[in-house]
Amino acid sequence: MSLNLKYYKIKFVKTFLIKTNQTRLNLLNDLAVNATDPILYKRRLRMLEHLSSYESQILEKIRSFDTDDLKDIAIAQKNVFEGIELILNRGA
Amino acid sequence: MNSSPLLVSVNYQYFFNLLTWQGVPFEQVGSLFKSPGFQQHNHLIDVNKIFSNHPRGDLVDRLGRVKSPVNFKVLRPWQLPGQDLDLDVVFETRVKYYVNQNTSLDLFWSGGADSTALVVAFLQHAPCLDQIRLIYSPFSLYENQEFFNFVTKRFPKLSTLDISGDVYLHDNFNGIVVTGHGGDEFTASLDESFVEEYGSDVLLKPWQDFFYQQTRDQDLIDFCTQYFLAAGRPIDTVLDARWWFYATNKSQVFTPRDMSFLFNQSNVCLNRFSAFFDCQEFEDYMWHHSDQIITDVNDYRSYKKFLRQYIYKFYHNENYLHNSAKINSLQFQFYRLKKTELLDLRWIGILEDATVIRTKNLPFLSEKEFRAQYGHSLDYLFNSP
Repeated sequence: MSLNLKYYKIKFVKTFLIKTNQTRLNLLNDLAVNATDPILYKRRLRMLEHLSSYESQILEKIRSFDTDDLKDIAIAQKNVFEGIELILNRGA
Repeated sequence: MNSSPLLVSVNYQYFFNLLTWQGVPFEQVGSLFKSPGFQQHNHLIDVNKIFSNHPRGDLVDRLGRVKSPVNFKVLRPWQLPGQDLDLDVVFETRVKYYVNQNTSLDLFWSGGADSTALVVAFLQHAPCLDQIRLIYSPFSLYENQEFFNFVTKRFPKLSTLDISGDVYLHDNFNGIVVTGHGGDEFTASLDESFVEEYGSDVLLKPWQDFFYQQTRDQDLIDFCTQYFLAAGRPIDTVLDARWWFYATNKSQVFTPRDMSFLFNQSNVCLNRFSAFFDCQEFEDYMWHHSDQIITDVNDYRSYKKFLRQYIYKFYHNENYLHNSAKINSLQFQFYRLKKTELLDLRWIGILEDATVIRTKNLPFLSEKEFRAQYGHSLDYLFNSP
């Protein structure tokens, strides 16, 4: 019997959205805490914009992801979460 | 150009999938891999593992002796050095090369010793500052604010650009981007973690003892004994071995990879993104002066002091000369990686003609999608044992 890969894709979408929502909330809190610092405020706001554009980019890609192998979804999940960490990195 | 262009860089985040689909058995070592049947390649990976806890960055044998499971193009094959030039002459020659390209030059300045030395070289030897633009970020200033103040005061007409904010995402770098790459690889890439882990004394020990202590592999020692002969000078100590290994196997890796920073622009080619120190003249200089890599193994601040001395002749800052020490500057990497994610510039490999291997759905990669796009047209990039 073949795997129902759609189930795993839906699960992936759910995990991804939970992760981005948590990240967004953390950034919002950070934004409020740093509201009096114009530089930090601007940077957090920019990160929120970036997070949203990343989120929509990834959702579009999940929709068109064509695979027969469950392992591909696991690898994709890892790469996508690393991407969130990267765009939130404050090193540059 | 070769009708079947070879690889100049791969992104192992995705490239490991290609190895699997290609039927290449492999064992991951850091971000690299060993593969059965490629014993000499595996020995080089072992050497990399001895020098670094987490080897990364393609391993490209510039001697062309070792067969690898994948076909890399050697961009600048190793050759024995010529005459022993003065460092200032080396840098002047390098600046002349860039100036003669008759295009704008973006100097990426991170604030570290390598990129500061390259900026000094240009300010001293470039005939016309209009050709040059100094690219920096707040993190460059954090590393060396005084140097920036000095330069902007002394050269008020020098064009500068802060790439923080969204500038790095959308600004065009139309000429040649010049970076401080190579400044580490030709000076043994001696990060402090190695010295901290093994102690500074290890650098002057015979490499054979250290290698054996780490691996218990006599075959590896025999291979290295032969491999190190090609240096044309004695390789006795761990420091010598480290210099030779990084110069011959790791010096090509970072520049083509970091060229991905320009992937949102049109007509990108390999020489649009250039490593200032990756040239025959500087390589020759280090071959003759490897004793200058670190003058006192017990004081890490003496690592690459010759570069700071070169800067000092121009900048005259005693504090910078004596008290600054190398720290790994990752700011450009962060900008590059963020840009890759945000502008959807992800890639699997780069070929010598600057063709980018990528599928439109990255970071999602499946054999089904990959074969639909490339079929077996890239099989020539892989070798059998």
